[in-house]
Amino acid sequence: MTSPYENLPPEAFWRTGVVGKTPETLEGLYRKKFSIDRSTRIATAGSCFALHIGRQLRAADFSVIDTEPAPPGLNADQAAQFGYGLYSARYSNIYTARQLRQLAEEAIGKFHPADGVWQKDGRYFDALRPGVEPNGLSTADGVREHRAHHLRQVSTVIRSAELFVFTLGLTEAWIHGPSGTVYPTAPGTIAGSYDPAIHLFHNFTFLEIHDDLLAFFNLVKEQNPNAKFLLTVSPVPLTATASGEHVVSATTYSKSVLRAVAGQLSHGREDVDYFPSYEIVTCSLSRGEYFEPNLRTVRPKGVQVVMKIFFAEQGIVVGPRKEKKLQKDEERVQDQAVCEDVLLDAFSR
Amino acid sequence: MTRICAIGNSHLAALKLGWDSIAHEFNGVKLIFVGAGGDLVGDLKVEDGCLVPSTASLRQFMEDLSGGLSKIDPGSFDGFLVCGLEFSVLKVMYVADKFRAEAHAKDERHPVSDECFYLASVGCLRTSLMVQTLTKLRRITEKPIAVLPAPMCSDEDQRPIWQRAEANGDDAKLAEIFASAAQHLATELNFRLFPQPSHTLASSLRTKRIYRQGSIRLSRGSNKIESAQGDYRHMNGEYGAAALREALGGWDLCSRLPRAS
Repeated sequence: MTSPYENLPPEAFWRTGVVGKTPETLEGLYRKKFSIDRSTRIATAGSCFALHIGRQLRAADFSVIDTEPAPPGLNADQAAQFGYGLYSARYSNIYTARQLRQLAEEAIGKFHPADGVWQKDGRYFDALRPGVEPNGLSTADGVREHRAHHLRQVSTVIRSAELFVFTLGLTEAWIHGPSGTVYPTAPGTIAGSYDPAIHLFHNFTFLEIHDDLLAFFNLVKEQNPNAKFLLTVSPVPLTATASGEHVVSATTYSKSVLRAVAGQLSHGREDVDYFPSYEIVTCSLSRGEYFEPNLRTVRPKGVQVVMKIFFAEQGIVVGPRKEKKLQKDEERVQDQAVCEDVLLDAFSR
Repeated sequence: MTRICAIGNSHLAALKLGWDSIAHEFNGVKLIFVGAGGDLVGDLKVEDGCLVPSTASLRQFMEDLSGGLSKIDPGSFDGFLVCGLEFSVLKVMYVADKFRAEAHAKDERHPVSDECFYLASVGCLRTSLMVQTLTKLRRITEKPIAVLPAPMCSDEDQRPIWQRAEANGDDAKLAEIFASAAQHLATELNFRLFPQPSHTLASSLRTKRIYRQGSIRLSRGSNKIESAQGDYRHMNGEYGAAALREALGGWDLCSRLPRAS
């Protein structure tokens, strides 16, 4: 052998692996580490893009856990506004690994959030999932009581999931300084009020995110030893950054760190796989075609290609009729309504 | 003469019997009853500005009950009185089976905000045959519509669904939610809602048992009046008379007419 590259497969080279292809025809982009089928009990969580993944899995008849189903009578849009039907429990979007770890620790009683109830116009909101009740509750005690119920459902998710799909979204977060409690959204965006002496901006590092995910994996494994994990990185750019950098640089940093952590963990653990939805949507081969004109929102077509590649590698056959339904579902849904970080747009000048 | 088309399902039987006993009080009013038991009224469809039966069986029942009407032509009536058709507090109880609002008793059910519970209740009522029928009716006419919800179940009904609500004190709150949700749809579909007469109620969610004695209903899938002694949901002619008296007496369409004492 004259070169270590000599016998590598076509996908190892840009010219043979990429040029002249489309994301749909790329070979070997995703090689599953473990198989799932429609009976695998799947839990989903993560940032906005995870909504698409969860919805597509449900629509393709996978056994996606839903411990907090919507009350009868709500239509799909109303249910989504109240945080139903989005994830395996009503935790709404989980943007950071710390938020995920914190939720799991809280569910088993190892963590107690500080400043967990926010106010706005005389109404009370769960600071750790402020979007699930769009107009809040009438009392702070009500918020605490609802949260206690929610945590019991989260605990059920942890104990029952065979596969936990988590979409990493952000490195940036707002933290309650004195306690370290991390919020999904900046205080004052949906409810609460921003106090610079208490609420601190934090941009999580590779090591912090790596350790948070490890802690989450270990915690789940303690309850559910056979659980496996599938990590993805959201291709959706940041709506806003508080890092002081340009939002483009901040996005690149954030996604690079998340992608690196996901790679590190999937390389190092048998029970963790990485699915390259980020690459499929953002790589130069896609020519930006999977983004809406705002260059941020992922178009239904992009989601479809992502899921097609996932299903194909998992050997899941989705018939043409079902495929059409998946496409329709994707086009119908307005994710903006449940993406809290989009609200930050309101603060742009 | 004010001609009113009374549309309904099994609950129409009590109204029909009640009307026979009080018609003399409403000299200027003529009620024409159109309907069938079960969910057959759902087979009405809009055609040429009328509601027409889409199945032979519904056509037959309509003709038999109304004395020959094979379609509902809004031009032939001054108003419509629609009763039953799953428009009932049971829709709210269905939500309350697994969910509780903030003001409700705290138990193992999923807690939701009052707003969420209310929207769910409206949504469940929206699935009723009543709303489906009214939606069709509103496509063909702007004439006045009065709605009589299905009566509350009799206080003899011992099912846990009622017992829980009464034991934990939620019954009045659930009745209030039903009233608000029904009124929400009344505004949306432009109909006049006539809640169950208060003097027929044993409690917030229950009808006095005297109104179930000798109760009747239109049998499922037909227009035959049969005994409803086996259930707690259908009432007797006395109830029908009370409900009609309150509705016709309070409805602008009829209340201006001279009324016999």
